[in-house]
Amino acid sequence: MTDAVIAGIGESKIGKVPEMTTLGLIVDASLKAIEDAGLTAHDIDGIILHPAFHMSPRYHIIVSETLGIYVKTLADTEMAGGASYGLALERAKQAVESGLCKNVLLVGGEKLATGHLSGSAMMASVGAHNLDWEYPYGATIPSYYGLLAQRYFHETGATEADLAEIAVMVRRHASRNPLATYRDEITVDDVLNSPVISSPLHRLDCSLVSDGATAYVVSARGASKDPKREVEFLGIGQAQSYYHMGQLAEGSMDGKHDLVRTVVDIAGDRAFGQAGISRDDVDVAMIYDSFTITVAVQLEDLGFAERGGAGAFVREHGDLGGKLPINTHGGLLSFAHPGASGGMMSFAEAVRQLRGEAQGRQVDDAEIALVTSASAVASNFTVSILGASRA
Amino acid sequence: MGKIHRPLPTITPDHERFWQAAKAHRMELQKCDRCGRFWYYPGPVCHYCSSREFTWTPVSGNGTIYSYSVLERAKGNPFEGDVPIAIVLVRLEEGPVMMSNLVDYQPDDLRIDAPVTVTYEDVDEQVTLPVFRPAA
Repeated sequence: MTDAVIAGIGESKIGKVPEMTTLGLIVDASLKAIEDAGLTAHDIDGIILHPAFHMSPRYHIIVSETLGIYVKTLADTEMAGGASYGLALERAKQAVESGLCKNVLLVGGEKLATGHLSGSAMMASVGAHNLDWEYPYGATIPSYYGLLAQRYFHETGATEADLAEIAVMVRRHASRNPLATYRDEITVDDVLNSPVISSPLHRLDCSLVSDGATAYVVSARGASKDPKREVEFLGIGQAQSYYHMGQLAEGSMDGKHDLVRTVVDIAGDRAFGQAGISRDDVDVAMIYDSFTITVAVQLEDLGFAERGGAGAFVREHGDLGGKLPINTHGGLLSFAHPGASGGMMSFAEAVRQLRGEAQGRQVDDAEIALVTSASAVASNFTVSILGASRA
Repeated sequence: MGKIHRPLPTITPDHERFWQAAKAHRMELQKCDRCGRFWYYPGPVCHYCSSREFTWTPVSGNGTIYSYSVLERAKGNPFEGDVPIAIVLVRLEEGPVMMSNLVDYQPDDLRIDAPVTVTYEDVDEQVTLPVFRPAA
């Protein structure tokens, strides 16, 4: 069987980019990824798009037409919010390994900072969330995560200060990344003193609102111009539970999962099982950080931190030189968050780390990276374990 | 809490009965004829046992707070000017957990496991929303 690898990555300009359209950002990231892999647009025979909030479900065709990719044997738009790109990566890997495609382009982009999408339009277009049974009560996306965080505090004894540790650490990483939106280091008090958006979450517990696009190319091993820069798939898992917060709270029939005990453990167990490694083998982790609470439940449910201990874990182990450096580019919290495709930047960063190209923030001898994606109030997860090239 | 500019639900045949009851300031939920459980939100099948046989049944409207979040900033949403809004997940004594608002409350009332009881907000001709207040 052919083995698939991540052959190329590309990122557009991020932050506030009023001079470019969403399509322009997507094209820019795509061409950079294709070039990074040593390929041309004509080598691409598969495309999976992670749509912006307002896009047509056939936007992948528009992108193909713009890039000049006439024939594809895989072409689709993955509409699963923040988990899309992890789901799509597994599909792309399978397409290459089965011989369906040679080179699959995965791309997503969005203009949240300088676009024209109001909060309500965004909520409606992504169904975020239940428009009949939740939105009429005035719940916004931070409210859903606020409900999660409040219950998490109740069940674990963790506090707002514990969550703040996560924002502080991610910002410290961002301070080393010249491309990050926010680079000034912050303290726990800064987080706690920032305005409450939806209690108990403060502004600095929440991710950014940005413009930007990211792309990568999944190819057969050895297909790129430099096999030493190809990144290996070691394991991928996914799991999804429910969506409506009440349904999540009621939990699974077997009582193993509920609002604060997420199904990311299922995705993680599958990924670790395929990779044949333990938690201690992971050198660097990109944990989806839409909110600080999103990171906390994942670290605990994946078995990295003990229950209620995510904040202390990140403070003690999350920095460069620590046991598990987290979100070394600065994450959605401090680097950028251009909508549903924002977490794709985590994969790009993992690839840089595994290639040894994360200038100024390189994790020494990084050979194994773990990347998660999450959406729908911490109910839809993917866990990917990537490895440095064996070439 | 002032009047909230609420985005309105779309009433469909799957849950028309729920809204009719709310209009009359009653809460009725579907109770499964096979396994006897109540479910929320209303829909065409019991998600515990897949039975499509059910009976709309009055519930007490009493429950406890499972979690809460007070929305302070809501830029771009129709209720932007109506904050703070207390959003609660209420575990009804019949079992299901619903999202709603807590109204007419003191700060001490907003805590997990606090008892609450249903009240109603008449929003327009069609829609009356069940919301909750601290239990007496």
